[in-house]
Amino acid sequence: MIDPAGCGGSFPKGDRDYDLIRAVGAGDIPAFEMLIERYRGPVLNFIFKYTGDRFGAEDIAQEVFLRVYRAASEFEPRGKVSTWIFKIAYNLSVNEIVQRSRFCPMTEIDDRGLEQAEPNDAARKELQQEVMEAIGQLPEKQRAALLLRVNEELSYAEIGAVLSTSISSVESLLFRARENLRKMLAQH
Amino acid sequence: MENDRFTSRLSAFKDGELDENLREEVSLHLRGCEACRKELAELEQVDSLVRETPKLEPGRFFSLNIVAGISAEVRQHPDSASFPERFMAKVLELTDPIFELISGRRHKETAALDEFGDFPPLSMSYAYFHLIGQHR
Repeated sequence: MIDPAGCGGSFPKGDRDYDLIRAVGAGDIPAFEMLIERYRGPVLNFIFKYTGDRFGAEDIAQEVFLRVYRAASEFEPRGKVSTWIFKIAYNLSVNEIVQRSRFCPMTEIDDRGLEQAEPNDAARKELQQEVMEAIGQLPEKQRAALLLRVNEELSYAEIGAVLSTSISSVESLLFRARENLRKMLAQH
Repeated sequence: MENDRFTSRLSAFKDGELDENLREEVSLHLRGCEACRKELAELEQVDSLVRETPKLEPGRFFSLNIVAGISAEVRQHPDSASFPERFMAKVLELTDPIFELISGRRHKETAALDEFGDFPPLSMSYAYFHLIGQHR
């Protein structure tokens, strides 16, 4: 039992992700590389922004894909492959935060390895840093719900499956996350 | 009071996650409520700030490291590996030196005892490692 979300039991025909995960389950490495190519950016950035640790994020993201590979043959098509991958990423990130016992806010945005903002745009960089710090101060579930909704555009049902919570809880988490963030940013 | 009832639904309204009746109700309210329109605009601004936070780019060898990790597992447990896994493991084994040549980095090969053998001289552990012949 891997994915608690959604319904149904057979692989929908023509769905690219299902085709890939089925091939990965059969040990198809090129299919696995395609799946990695598809999700490595979103997974890496979700982990990075959830944990606040840009140096550890890549290690955790690689572990996510290793687990995807190991469990692919047991994947049950009850929900989307993306939801399942984000659930693994979320669980590993939670473990990481528990081990560290705290969010690790970036004290300064380091441009190496990051998409470049406008050159010499100090004000923008400062604002981005404030937003990252504010995200880091959100309660963990609010933070995860916000990142999954705003950056990854998951539906409330999908977010509920990732966080193992109800749709009404997701609505409440997102409302409070946005309100908290708005208040924190208004203080600056 | 009336505003509070709608304010808490603006986030879900913005995400298109309200049922049709409620969505219609919120839309009607927004037409006549300046405060809620302002609140909605601020929520949209918050989302746009979150979207604009810097993104990490995966490292050049991100995928390769994962596949190499799998092939290492396959090498340890060859019996449980399928033919494509055994084939890829062998290919990676042969291509490892080429990637090392391109990246300029050599995979560090360390023995477990080497990892723990870096003790200060004259310590008990140093003496022990010296005795068992694992000192450097």
